Amino acid sequence: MADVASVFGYLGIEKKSDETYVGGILISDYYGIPVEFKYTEPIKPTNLQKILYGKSIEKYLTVDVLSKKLIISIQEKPRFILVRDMTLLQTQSKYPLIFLESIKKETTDADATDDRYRSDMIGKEYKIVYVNNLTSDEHQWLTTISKEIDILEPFSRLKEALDYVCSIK
Amino acid sequence: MFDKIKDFFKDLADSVKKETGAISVLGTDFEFDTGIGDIYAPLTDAIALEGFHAYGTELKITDLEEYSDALCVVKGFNEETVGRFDRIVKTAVFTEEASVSSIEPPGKEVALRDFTPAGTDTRVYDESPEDTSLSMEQILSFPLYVVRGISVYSEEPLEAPGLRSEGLFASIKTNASDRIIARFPMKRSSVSRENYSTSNIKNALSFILDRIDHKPRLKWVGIFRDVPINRIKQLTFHESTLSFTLYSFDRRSIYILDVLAVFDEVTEKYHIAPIVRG
Repeated sequence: MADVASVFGYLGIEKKSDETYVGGILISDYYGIPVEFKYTEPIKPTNLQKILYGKSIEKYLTVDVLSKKLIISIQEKPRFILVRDMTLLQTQSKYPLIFLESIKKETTDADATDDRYRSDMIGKEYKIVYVNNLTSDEHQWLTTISKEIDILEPFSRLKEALDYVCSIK
Repeated sequence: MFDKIKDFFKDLADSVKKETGAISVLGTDFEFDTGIGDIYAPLTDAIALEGFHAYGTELKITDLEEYSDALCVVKGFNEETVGRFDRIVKTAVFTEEASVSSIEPPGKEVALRDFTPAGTDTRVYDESPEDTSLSMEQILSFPLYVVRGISVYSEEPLEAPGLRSEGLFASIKTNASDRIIARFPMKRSSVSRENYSTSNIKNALSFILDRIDHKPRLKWVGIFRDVPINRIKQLTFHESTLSFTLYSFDRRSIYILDVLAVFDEVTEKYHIAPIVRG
Protein backbone atom coordinates (compact mmCIF):
# COMPACT_ATOMS: atom_id res chain seq x y z
CA MET A 1 0.00 0.00 0.00
CA ALA A 2 1.47 3.32 -1.06
CA ASP A 3 2.07 5.94 1.58
CA VAL A 4 -0.39 8.57 0.38
CA ALA A 5 0.33 10.84 3.36
CA SER A 6 3.89 11.56 2.25
CA VAL A 7 4.77 14.56 0.19
CA PHE A 8 7.52 15.32 -2.30
CA GLY A 9 8.84 18.44 -3.95
CA TYR A 10 9.48 20.07 -7.29
CA LEU A 11 12.32 22.58 -7.40
CA GLY A 12 12.92 24.90 -10.34
CA ILE A 13 14.89 28.02 -11.18
CA GLU A 14 13.88 30.19 -14.11
CA LYS A 15 16.32 32.46 -15.88
CA LYS A 16 14.51 35.07 -17.91
CA SER A 17 15.80 36.69 -21.07
CA ASP A 18 16.74 39.83 -19.16
CA GLU A 19 18.97 37.73 -16.87
CA THR A 20 16.52 37.84 -14.02
CA TYR A 21 16.50 34.72 -11.87
CA VAL A 22 13.58 33.46 -9.87
CA GLY A 23 13.20 30.19 -8.02
CA GLY A 24 10.33 28.20 -6.65
CA ILE A 25 9.59 25.01 -4.82
CA LEU A 26 6.28 23.23 -4.99
CA ILE A 27 5.51 20.57 -2.44
CA SER A 28 2.93 18.13 -3.68
CA ASP A 29 1.02 15.26 -2.21
CA TYR A 30 0.78 11.80 -3.64
CA TYR A 31 -1.89 12.94 -6.11
CA GLY A 32 0.01 15.94 -7.38
CA ILE A 33 -2.07 18.39 -5.39
CA PRO A 34 -0.04 21.29 -4.00
CA VAL A 35 0.42 21.50 -0.28
CA GLU A 36 3.04 24.25 -0.17
CA PHE A 37 4.53 26.73 -2.61
CA LYS A 38 7.48 29.00 -1.94
CA TYR A 39 9.18 31.32 -4.37
CA THR A 40 11.99 33.82 -4.27
CA GLU A 41 11.90 37.44 -5.23
CA PRO A 42 13.17 37.82 -8.80
CA ILE A 43 16.81 38.83 -8.72
CA LYS A 44 18.95 40.36 -11.41
CA PRO A 45 22.68 40.42 -10.77
CA THR A 46 24.34 43.77 -11.21
CA ASN A 47 27.26 44.24 -13.55
CA LEU A 48 29.56 44.39 -10.55
CA GLN A 49 28.26 41.09 -9.27
CA LYS A 50 28.73 39.54 -12.70
CA ILE A 51 32.33 40.70 -12.72
CA LEU A 52 32.98 39.48 -9.20
CA TYR A 53 31.49 36.05 -9.71
CA GLY A 54 32.54 35.57 -13.32
CA LYS A 55 31.43 32.37 -15.00
CA SER A 56 30.35 30.89 -11.69
CA ILE A 57 27.56 33.37 -11.17
CA GLU A 58 24.84 31.20 -12.68
CA LYS A 59 25.75 28.18 -10.61
CA TYR A 60 26.24 30.31 -7.51
CA LEU A 61 22.85 31.97 -7.91
CA THR A 62 20.84 28.91 -8.83
CA VAL A 63 22.48 26.38 -6.52
CA ASP A 64 24.04 28.19 -3.59
CA VAL A 65 21.57 31.02 -3.24
CA LEU A 66 18.12 30.34 -4.65
CA SER A 67 17.78 26.55 -4.35
CA LYS A 68 19.42 26.39 -0.95
CA LYS A 69 17.25 29.20 0.36
CA LEU A 70 14.07 27.58 -0.96
CA ILE A 71 14.84 24.17 0.51
CA ILE A 72 15.58 25.70 3.88
CA SER A 73 12.36 27.71 3.78
CA ILE A 74 9.84 24.89 3.34
CA GLN A 75 7.66 23.78 6.22
CA GLU A 76 6.75 20.36 4.86
CA LYS A 77 9.16 17.46 4.95
CA PRO A 78 9.29 15.98 1.47
CA ARG A 79 10.63 12.50 0.96
CA PHE A 80 12.62 13.82 -1.96
CA ILE A 81 12.75 16.79 -4.29
CA LEU A 82 12.59 16.46 -8.04
CA VAL A 83 14.53 18.75 -10.36
CA ARG A 84 14.80 19.10 -14.12
CA ASP A 85 18.20 20.76 -14.11
CA MET A 86 21.18 18.57 -13.30
CA THR A 87 23.05 21.54 -11.84
CA LEU A 88 20.57 21.71 -8.98
CA LEU A 89 21.72 18.27 -7.80
CA GLN A 90 24.71 20.10 -6.32
CA THR A 91 22.48 21.96 -3.89
CA GLN A 92 23.10 21.25 -0.23
CA SER A 93 19.90 19.62 0.95
CA LYS A 94 18.74 17.43 3.76
CA TYR A 95 16.26 15.89 1.36
CA PRO A 96 17.35 13.70 -1.56
CA LEU A 97 17.46 15.57 -4.83
CA ILE A 98 16.48 13.62 -7.92
CA PHE A 99 16.81 14.70 -11.51
CA LEU A 100 13.87 13.33 -13.47
CA GLU A 101 13.19 13.27 -17.17
CA SER A 102 11.10 11.32 -19.59
CA ILE A 103 12.99 8.98 -21.84
CA LYS A 104 10.46 9.80 -24.55
CA LYS A 105 12.45 12.93 -25.23
CA GLU A 106 14.54 12.70 -28.36
CA THR A 107 17.53 14.18 -26.62
CA THR A 108 18.51 13.81 -23.04
CA ASP A 109 19.74 16.52 -20.74
CA ALA A 110 21.02 14.04 -18.25
CA ASP A 111 24.72 13.41 -18.34
CA ALA A 112 25.28 10.96 -15.56
CA THR A 113 28.87 10.22 -16.54
CA ASP A 114 29.95 12.33 -13.57
CA ASP A 115 31.19 10.01 -10.85
CA ARG A 116 29.16 11.84 -8.26
CA TYR A 117 25.92 10.81 -9.88
CA ARG A 118 23.97 7.61 -10.06
CA SER A 119 21.29 6.95 -12.59
CA ASP A 120 18.38 4.61 -12.68
CA MET A 121 15.06 4.03 -14.37
CA ILE A 122 11.60 4.60 -12.99
CA GLY A 123 9.45 2.11 -14.84
CA LYS A 124 10.00 2.31 -18.58
CA GLU A 125 9.18 5.98 -18.96
CA TYR A 126 11.50 7.95 -16.74
CA LYS A 127 15.16 8.26 -16.11
CA ILE A 128 16.43 9.54 -12.78
CA VAL A 129 19.83 10.83 -11.71
CA TYR A 130 20.71 11.48 -8.11
CA VAL A 131 23.69 12.12 -5.90
CA ASN A 132 23.13 10.13 -2.75
CA ASN A 133 21.84 6.62 -2.61
CA LEU A 134 18.14 6.43 -2.95
CA THR A 135 16.62 3.88 -0.63
CA SER A 136 14.61 1.09 -2.20
CA ASP A 137 11.61 2.42 -0.33
CA GLU A 138 11.92 5.85 -1.90
CA HIS A 139 12.57 4.33 -5.30
CA GLN A 140 9.44 2.23 -4.96
CA TRP A 141 7.38 5.20 -3.82
CA LEU A 142 8.55 7.26 -6.79
CA THR A 143 7.69 4.39 -9.11
CA THR A 144 4.20 4.18 -7.64
CA ILE A 145 3.59 7.91 -8.02
CA SER A 146 4.80 7.84 -11.60
CA LYS A 147 2.13 5.27 -12.38
CA GLU A 148 -0.54 7.25 -10.59
CA ILE A 149 -0.04 10.75 -11.98
CA ASP A 150 1.85 12.53 -14.73
CA ILE A 151 4.82 13.09 -12.52
CA LEU A 152 6.36 15.75 -14.75
CA GLU A 153 3.20 17.85 -14.99
CA PRO A 154 3.75 19.88 -11.78
CA PHE A 155 6.97 21.23 -13.30
CA SER A 156 4.79 23.04 -15.87
CA ARG A 157 2.71 24.62 -13.13
CA LEU A 158 5.84 25.63 -11.27
CA LYS A 159 7.25 27.29 -14.39
CA GLU A 160 3.97 29.09 -15.07
CA ALA A 161 3.85 30.33 -11.51
CA LEU A 162 7.41 31.63 -11.66
CA ASP A 163 6.73 33.35 -14.98
CA TYR A 164 3.73 34.94 -13.33
CA VAL A 165 5.80 36.07 -10.34
CA CYS A 166 8.25 37.76 -12.71
CA SER A 167 5.48 39.39 -14.70
CA ILE A 168 3.91 41.05 -11.68
CA LYS A 169 7.18 42.44 -10.32
CA MET B 1 30.02 78.91 -46.03
CA PHE B 2 30.48 78.95 -42.26
CA ASP B 3 26.77 79.13 -41.69
CA LYS B 4 26.48 75.95 -43.69
CA ILE B 5 29.16 74.35 -41.59
CA LYS B 6 27.43 75.46 -38.42
CA ASP B 7 24.23 73.94 -39.71
CA PHE B 8 26.09 70.78 -40.50
CA PHE B 9 27.34 70.47 -36.95
CA LYS B 10 23.93 71.28 -35.57
CA ASP B 11 22.48 68.52 -37.71
CA LEU B 12 25.29 66.25 -36.67
CA ALA B 13 24.62 67.00 -33.03
CA ASP B 14 20.93 66.35 -33.53
CA SER B 15 21.64 63.05 -35.21
CA VAL B 16 23.92 61.99 -32.39
CA LYS B 17 21.26 63.00 -29.92
CA LYS B 18 18.85 60.78 -31.73
CA GLU B 19 21.28 57.92 -31.42
CA THR B 20 21.81 58.53 -27.75
CA GLY B 21 18.38 59.80 -26.89
CA ALA B 22 17.50 56.90 -24.66
CA ILE B 23 20.67 57.04 -22.66
CA SER B 24 20.80 59.00 -19.48
CA VAL B 25 23.75 61.27 -19.10
CA LEU B 26 25.28 60.86 -15.72
CA GLY B 27 28.69 62.39 -16.12
CA THR B 28 29.79 65.94 -15.84
CA ASP B 29 30.26 67.96 -18.95
CA PHE B 30 33.76 68.83 -19.92
CA GLU B 31 35.29 70.42 -22.88
CA PHE B 32 37.98 69.45 -25.26
CA ASP B 33 39.19 70.75 -28.54
CA THR B 34 39.40 68.52 -31.48
CA GLY B 35 39.52 68.57 -35.21
CA ILE B 36 37.09 66.84 -37.46
CA GLY B 37 39.58 64.02 -37.92
CA ASP B 38 39.30 63.22 -34.26
CA ILE B 39 35.61 62.81 -34.17
CA TYR B 40 34.85 61.42 -37.56
CA ALA B 41 35.88 57.84 -36.92
CA PRO B 42 33.85 56.99 -33.83
CA LEU B 43 30.90 58.86 -35.23
CA THR B 44 31.05 57.20 -38.59
CA ASP B 45 28.49 54.61 -37.63
CA ALA B 46 26.08 57.15 -36.26
CA ILE B 47 26.46 59.28 -39.29
CA ALA B 48 26.15 56.37 -41.66
CA LEU B 49 22.94 55.35 -39.92
CA GLU B 50 21.53 58.75 -40.57
CA GLY B 51 22.80 58.78 -44.13
CA PHE B 52 24.70 61.91 -43.38
CA HIS B 53 26.64 63.80 -45.99
CA ALA B 54 28.70 66.91 -45.50
CA TYR B 55 26.28 69.70 -45.99
CA GLY B 56 26.28 71.20 -49.43
CA THR B 57 29.04 69.05 -50.80
CA GLU B 58 29.36 65.70 -52.45
CA LEU B 59 31.92 64.65 -49.91
CA LYS B 60 30.87 62.04 -47.42
CA ILE B 61 32.26 62.56 -44.01
CA THR B 62 33.70 59.06 -44.10
CA ASP B 63 35.82 60.10 -47.04
CA LEU B 64 37.77 62.45 -44.85
CA GLU B 65 40.03 59.81 -43.47
CA GLU B 66 42.89 60.05 -45.92
CA TYR B 67 42.88 63.81 -45.81
CA SER B 68 42.76 64.24 -42.06
CA ASP B 69 45.61 62.15 -40.71
CA ALA B 70 47.48 65.21 -39.59
CA LEU B 71 44.51 66.31 -37.57
CA CYS B 72 43.91 63.11 -35.69
CA VAL B 73 45.55 64.41 -32.58
CA VAL B 74 43.31 64.38 -29.62
CA LYS B 75 43.91 67.52 -27.71
CA GLY B 76 43.02 67.91 -24.11
CA PHE B 77 42.77 64.21 -23.32
CA ASN B 78 44.85 62.70 -20.62
CA GLU B 79 45.95 59.08 -20.55
CA GLU B 80 42.68 57.90 -19.08
CA THR B 81 40.35 59.77 -21.34
CA VAL B 82 42.25 58.77 -24.45
CA GLY B 83 41.56 55.19 -23.49
CA ARG B 84 37.89 56.03 -23.18
CA PHE B 85 37.82 58.18 -26.27
CA ASP B 86 35.86 55.76 -28.39
CA ARG B 87 33.26 55.28 -25.73
CA ILE B 88 33.03 58.93 -24.89
CA VAL B 89 32.35 59.94 -28.43
CA LYS B 90 29.96 57.09 -29.04
CA THR B 91 27.90 58.22 -26.15
CA ALA B 92 28.57 61.90 -26.48
CA VAL B 93 25.91 64.47 -26.79
CA PHE B 94 26.80 67.46 -28.83
CA THR B 95 24.95 70.08 -26.92
CA GLU B 96 23.17 73.00 -28.38
CA GLU B 97 26.04 75.15 -27.20
CA ALA B 98 28.44 73.30 -29.41
CA SER B 99 30.35 76.02 -31.03
CA VAL B 100 32.35 76.24 -34.15
CA SER B 101 35.36 78.39 -34.48
CA SER B 102 37.46 78.92 -37.47
CA ILE B 103 39.84 81.20 -39.11
CA GLU B 104 38.58 83.29 -41.89
CA PRO B 105 38.87 81.53 -45.21
CA PRO B 106 41.76 82.90 -47.12
CA GLY B 107 41.23 84.17 -50.58
CA LYS B 108 41.56 81.88 -53.50
CA GLU B 109 45.00 83.20 -54.11
CA VAL B 110 46.30 81.66 -50.89
CA ALA B 111 48.49 78.63 -51.49
CA LEU B 112 46.97 75.75 -49.61
CA ARG B 113 50.25 73.97 -49.17
CA ASP B 114 51.31 76.79 -46.84
CA PHE B 115 48.42 76.40 -44.49
CA THR B 116 49.06 74.67 -41.19
CA PRO B 117 46.26 74.33 -38.64
CA ALA B 118 46.78 75.83 -35.23
CA GLY B 119 48.19 73.39 -32.69
CA THR B 120 49.79 71.15 -35.31
CA ASP B 121 52.93 71.39 -37.29
CA THR B 122 51.59 69.45 -40.21
CA ARG B 123 50.30 70.97 -43.28
CA VAL B 124 46.77 70.24 -44.19
CA TYR B 125 47.63 69.64 -47.73
CA ASP B 126 50.93 69.19 -49.41
CA GLU B 127 49.61 69.36 -52.89
CA SER B 128 48.54 72.26 -54.95
CA PRO B 129 44.81 72.92 -55.29
CA GLU B 130 44.96 71.83 -58.87
CA ASP B 131 45.90 68.28 -57.85
CA THR B 132 42.94 67.66 -55.67
CA SER B 133 39.36 66.99 -56.42
CA LEU B 134 38.33 68.89 -53.33
CA SER B 135 37.40 72.49 -53.51
CA MET B 136 39.30 75.00 -51.46
CA GLU B 137 36.35 75.71 -49.21
CA GLN B 138 35.98 72.07 -48.30
CA ILE B 139 39.62 71.62 -47.49
CA LEU B 140 39.78 74.68 -45.35
CA SER B 141 36.68 73.95 -43.44
CA PHE B 142 37.52 70.57 -42.03
CA PRO B 143 40.26 71.04 -39.49
CA LEU B 144 39.03 74.14 -37.85
CA TYR B 145 36.18 73.23 -35.60
CA VAL B 146 36.07 73.20 -31.89
CA VAL B 147 33.32 71.03 -30.53
CA ARG B 148 32.39 71.80 -26.98
CA GLY B 149 30.09 70.37 -24.43
CA ILE B 150 30.80 66.66 -24.65
CA SER B 151 28.89 64.82 -21.97
CA VAL B 152 30.30 61.61 -20.64
CA TYR B 153 27.82 58.85 -20.17
CA SER B 154 28.43 56.34 -17.47
CA GLU B 155 26.44 53.12 -17.65
CA GLU B 156 26.59 52.29 -13.99
CA PRO B 157 28.29 53.83 -11.00
CA LEU B 158 30.53 50.92 -10.13
CA GLU B 159 31.37 52.27 -6.74
CA ALA B 160 27.78 51.89 -5.54
CA PRO B 161 27.62 48.26 -4.29
CA GLY B 162 29.65 47.98 -1.15
CA LEU B 163 32.03 45.06 -0.94
CA ARG B 164 31.09 43.73 2.42
CA SER B 165 32.16 40.49 3.93
CA GLU B 166 28.62 39.13 3.81
CA GLY B 167 27.24 37.45 0.71
CA LEU B 168 26.12 39.84 -2.01
CA PHE B 169 22.87 37.93 -2.47
CA ALA B 170 22.24 37.27 1.19
CA SER B 171 19.16 39.44 1.31
CA ILE B 172 17.06 37.35 -1.09
CA LYS B 173 13.66 36.69 0.42
CA THR B 174 11.29 33.82 -0.11
CA ASN B 175 7.54 34.16 -0.17
CA ALA B 176 4.80 31.63 0.33
CA SER B 177 1.65 31.72 -1.76
CA ASP B 178 -0.95 29.04 -2.33
CA ARG B 179 -2.91 31.63 -4.28
CA ILE B 180 -0.25 31.99 -6.97
CA ILE B 181 0.19 28.30 -7.59
CA ALA B 182 -3.59 27.84 -7.52
CA ARG B 183 -3.92 30.06 -10.59
CA PHE B 184 -2.44 27.34 -12.75
CA PRO B 185 -4.62 24.30 -13.25
CA MET B 186 -3.61 20.76 -12.54
CA LYS B 187 -3.87 18.48 -15.51
CA ARG B 188 -4.85 14.89 -15.88
CA SER B 189 -4.44 12.88 -19.04
CA SER B 190 -7.04 10.29 -19.89
CA VAL B 191 -6.06 6.73 -19.14
CA SER B 192 -6.89 3.49 -20.86
CA ARG B 193 -10.30 2.02 -20.13
CA GLU B 194 -8.66 -1.38 -19.84
CA ASN B 195 -8.03 -0.66 -16.18
CA TYR B 196 -11.77 -0.53 -15.59
CA SER B 197 -14.30 -3.28 -15.83
CA THR B 198 -17.22 -2.92 -18.21
CA SER B 199 -19.65 -3.03 -15.32
CA ASN B 200 -17.88 -0.16 -13.56
CA ILE B 201 -18.03 1.93 -16.73
CA LYS B 202 -21.73 1.11 -17.12
CA ASN B 203 -22.34 2.15 -13.53
CA ALA B 204 -20.67 5.47 -14.14
CA LEU B 205 -22.73 6.02 -17.29
CA SER B 206 -25.89 5.18 -15.39
CA PHE B 207 -24.93 7.77 -12.78
CA ILE B 208 -24.89 10.38 -15.54
CA LEU B 209 -28.04 9.21 -17.34
CA ASP B 210 -30.02 9.19 -14.11
CA ARG B 211 -29.35 12.91 -13.79
CA ILE B 212 -30.31 13.87 -17.34
CA ASP B 213 -33.97 14.54 -18.13
CA HIS B 214 -33.71 14.41 -21.90
CA LYS B 215 -32.52 11.95 -24.49
CA PRO B 216 -28.80 12.67 -24.67
CA ARG B 217 -26.31 12.03 -27.44
CA LEU B 218 -23.21 11.16 -25.45
CA LYS B 219 -19.68 11.28 -26.73
CA TRP B 220 -16.81 9.59 -24.89
CA VAL B 221 -14.22 12.03 -23.50
CA GLY B 222 -12.12 9.83 -21.27
CA ILE B 223 -11.38 8.42 -17.89
CA PHE B 224 -9.24 10.56 -15.59
CA ARG B 225 -7.48 9.39 -12.47
CA ASP B 226 -7.26 10.99 -9.06
CA VAL B 227 -9.61 13.94 -9.40
CA PRO B 228 -10.42 15.78 -6.12
CA ILE B 229 -14.08 15.66 -6.94
CA ASN B 230 -15.44 17.78 -4.07
CA ARG B 231 -12.93 20.65 -4.29
CA ILE B 232 -12.99 21.57 -7.95
CA LYS B 233 -13.44 25.25 -8.67
CA GLN B 234 -13.08 25.18 -12.44
CA LEU B 235 -12.91 22.23 -14.77
CA THR B 236 -12.12 22.21 -18.47
CA PHE B 237 -11.40 19.61 -21.10
CA HIS B 238 -9.01 19.97 -23.96
CA GLU B 239 -8.57 17.03 -26.28
CA SER B 240 -7.82 14.15 -23.92
CA THR B 241 -6.72 16.30 -21.01
CA LEU B 242 -8.72 17.38 -18.00
CA SER B 243 -7.62 20.60 -16.30
CA PHE B 244 -8.95 21.80 -13.00
CA THR B 245 -8.33 24.32 -10.27
CA LEU B 246 -9.27 23.87 -6.63
CA TYR B 247 -10.98 26.05 -4.07
CA SER B 248 -8.27 25.33 -1.55
CA PHE B 249 -5.37 23.03 -0.98
CA ASP B 250 -6.69 21.94 2.37
CA ARG B 251 -6.38 18.20 2.23
CA ARG B 252 -8.89 17.48 4.95
CA SER B 253 -12.13 15.88 3.73
CA ILE B 254 -10.92 15.78 0.18
CA TYR B 255 -12.40 13.03 -1.99
CA ILE B 256 -10.12 11.87 -4.72
CA LEU B 257 -11.74 9.62 -7.29
CA ASP B 258 -11.31 8.48 -10.84
CA VAL B 259 -13.95 9.97 -13.11
CA LEU B 260 -15.57 9.14 -16.40
CA ALA B 261 -16.22 12.17 -18.60
CA VAL B 262 -18.70 12.34 -21.48
CA PHE B 263 -19.94 15.15 -23.66
CA ASP B 264 -23.62 15.60 -24.39
CA GLU B 265 -23.91 16.90 -27.95
CA VAL B 266 -27.56 17.85 -27.40
CA THR B 267 -26.95 20.29 -24.56
CA GLU B 268 -23.26 20.76 -25.36
CA LYS B 269 -22.33 20.06 -21.77
CA TYR B 270 -19.78 17.82 -20.16
CA HIS B 271 -20.80 15.33 -17.50
CA ILE B 272 -18.58 13.44 -15.12
CA ALA B 273 -19.27 10.49 -12.93
CA PRO B 274 -17.18 8.66 -10.35
CA ILE B 275 -15.81 5.40 -11.52
CA VAL B 276 -14.38 2.58 -9.50
CA ARG B 277 -11.01 1.30 -10.61
CA GLY B 278 -11.35 -2.33 -11.57
